[in-house]
Amino acid sequence: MHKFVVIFVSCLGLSGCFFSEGPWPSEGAGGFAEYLPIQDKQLQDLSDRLDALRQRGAPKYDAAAYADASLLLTRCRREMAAGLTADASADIARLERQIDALEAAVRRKRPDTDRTLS
Amino acid sequence: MKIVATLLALALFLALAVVRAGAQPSDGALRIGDVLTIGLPGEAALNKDFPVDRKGAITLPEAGALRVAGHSLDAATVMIRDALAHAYRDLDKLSVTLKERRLPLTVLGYVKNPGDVVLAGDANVQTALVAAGGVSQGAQLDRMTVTHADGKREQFDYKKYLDTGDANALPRLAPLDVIFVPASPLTGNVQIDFDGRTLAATGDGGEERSAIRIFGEVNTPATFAYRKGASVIDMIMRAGGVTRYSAPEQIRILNKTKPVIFNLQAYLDTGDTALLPDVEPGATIYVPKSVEEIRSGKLTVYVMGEVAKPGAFETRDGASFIDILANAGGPTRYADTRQIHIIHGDGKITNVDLVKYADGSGGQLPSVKPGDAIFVPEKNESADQPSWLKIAPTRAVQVLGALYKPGRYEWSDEMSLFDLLSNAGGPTAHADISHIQILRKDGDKAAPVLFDLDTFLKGGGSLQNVPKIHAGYVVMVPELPQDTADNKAQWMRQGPERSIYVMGQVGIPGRYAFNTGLGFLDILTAANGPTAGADVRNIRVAHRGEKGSRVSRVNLSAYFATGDEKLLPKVRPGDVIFVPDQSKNYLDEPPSEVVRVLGAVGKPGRYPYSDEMSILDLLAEAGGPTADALQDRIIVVNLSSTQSQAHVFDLLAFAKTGDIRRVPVVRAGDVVYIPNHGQDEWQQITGAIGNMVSAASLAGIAASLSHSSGH
Repeated sequence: MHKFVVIFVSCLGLSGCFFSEGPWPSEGAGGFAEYLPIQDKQLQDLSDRLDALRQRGAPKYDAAAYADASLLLTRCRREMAAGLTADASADIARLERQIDALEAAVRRKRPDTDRTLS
Repeated sequence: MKIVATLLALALFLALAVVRAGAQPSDGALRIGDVLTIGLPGEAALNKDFPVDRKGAITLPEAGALRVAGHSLDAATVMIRDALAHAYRDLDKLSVTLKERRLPLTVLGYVKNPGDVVLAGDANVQTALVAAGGVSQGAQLDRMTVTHADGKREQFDYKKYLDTGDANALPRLAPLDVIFVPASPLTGNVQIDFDGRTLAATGDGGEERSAIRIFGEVNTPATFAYRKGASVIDMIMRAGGVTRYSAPEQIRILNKTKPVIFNLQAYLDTGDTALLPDVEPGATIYVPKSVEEIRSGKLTVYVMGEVAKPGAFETRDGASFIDILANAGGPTRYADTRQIHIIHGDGKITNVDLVKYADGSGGQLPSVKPGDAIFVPEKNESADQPSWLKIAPTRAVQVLGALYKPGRYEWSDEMSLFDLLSNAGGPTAHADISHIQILRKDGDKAAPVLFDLDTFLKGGGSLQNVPKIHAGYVVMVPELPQDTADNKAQWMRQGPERSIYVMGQVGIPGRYAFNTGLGFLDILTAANGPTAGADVRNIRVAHRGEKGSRVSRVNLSAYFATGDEKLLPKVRPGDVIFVPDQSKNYLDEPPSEVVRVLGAVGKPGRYPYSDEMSILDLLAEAGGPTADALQDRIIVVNLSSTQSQAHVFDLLAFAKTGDIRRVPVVRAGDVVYIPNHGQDEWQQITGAIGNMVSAASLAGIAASLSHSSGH
């Protein structure tokens, strides 16, 4: 009987060891991912489309939307670099819609720059 | 014996004749006006004519005046011979002859050349009047007088002479008679020139007592001379007959004091001469008007007031209100045709709105029965202020507010709102034409409509967009507020539907007039813009008047960074703009938009974060790590609905290497915790104790197992 009591108390001690605070979390990343190369192809494509829009004058004709899209691209790149893939996927989908709208707006205001029409 | 008696009678007759001849000059006696010729050969002074002057004398040479009138020619010859005997010796051959007889008269009165005339001895009144130039117009022909030399006055009817040719109607004239032609009483006391037509029209009644007076509805009412045997028909014909307005059934004849009613119509219908009343001298004949005939009849209606011909009218079956009014000549221009009263015979009163009836909305006009009275009152208006009651509400539009001539205007649907405003003098300088209010009436309901005339005038557009105005509508042009900052009482005159509200950190918060032509920056500038303590990134606009509630946030800072107008919200009247303070309550910021910075920093707190920032910006904003902060153990917790995670940021290592790969991502909603050294030692202690407990537990388990195996 005494033996089982000792084993039970010892197990309690081990369990306290298991549930006690562990070591410090790992070091984070992605805080300045906008300055690093893009590893994700989908994100790279979106970045290219946004850059094309910039060249077609999006910052002039739809400045606020372009600024929002640029900021969202930064966020996506950061999240992707930080391993927040689920959040990044959601934000990439949002970014894609914004870029679509931005392209439509620029096409409407600058049809001469729309390469898809030619 | 019989012969003797006859001789005596003859002698008596001769004696009487002689006596009469002696008392009165016979026709053979010389009289005034006679012309004698006295002849005496060889005497030039005598061989000529000697007229008997007005004194009855002739003037003889050398002998002077010798009265011969009244003497016979023979006696006069003797008298002349005796008178000349004193100057002439041989008078045997003296001869005196009556060369001619003349009649010196005086014609006075209404003749063209009154004065003395000398006529032939057998002249009568007519020749005397001709010698005086004839009678003048206005002379009374039947009452001329002759005054003889002895003063005896004799009146005669010259008109009778003219009518009959009877010379006996004229008096016998004698030298020195004075004929007087009087003026007719019809000429009055004022000297005017008459023409024959006028005189004839005014009648010929000169004798007041016997003249017949005819007046009323005859063509020539006048006073006419009475003629014996003339009937009332003759007299009426003398007055030109009755007019078309006469009532021939009710001709009144007043013989002295006895009135008689003569029914001319009945006489003409029957030819019964017994119906002809006698007309006595001095009678008065009155031919009444036909309306007056039925003045109190059983079929009479009365029309009074502002009609062309007020009076009593005879109505018949089927005669309507309009018929009667038309017979009265219709309402005059001064008539208030909206307030016509019909006073019925039983005392009841019915009001008639003729204007409403004419518009087709007045229904049926009341029937008018005999004995009723129609009263058309005078309208209460002047030339410069016509009565507004003339225009029925169904034909009027009310124009109110900031116009030069607001009022009530007659409306026709072919007019437009612009016509109406122009007619009202146009908007004043303080008119808010961007908020013209039009109250449309539809039956018992009214619906307001706003029209932005300012925008329409500036930008144009389809005229279909201009509200259609119809009669009964109300058009209100509001005034612009004078100065809401100075006098807030003026706000009451500014409707909420055209106001916008600006609150918070602006120069002059308040309630501002606003229209859709203005923008967000207009109203923000009108409020003197954000203050220095304003949080321009978090301006809130509450959009009222929409279905559901909606609040938009304005990042004015982003607008200034990009210039993108889309960042500015569309604001409309009624919206509320709130510019918060930078030191706002933390509850104003939702957790998803801030990063909570905890631990060993200068200013722990909630900090707005955007993706253009980094953890370095946060730390700097929060005052940086304190001296006891574990700068190599800064913990970043990325909160997410799917994969929350924590990472450490070694600030020291980053500072030493500059490796941006070691900087963790931070997003809005995340938590940054900077532990200090105390927390680190406690962790070491709790970690050591934990290790020791774990070792002891393992040792205890091992010992128990070995002890049990030993057994």
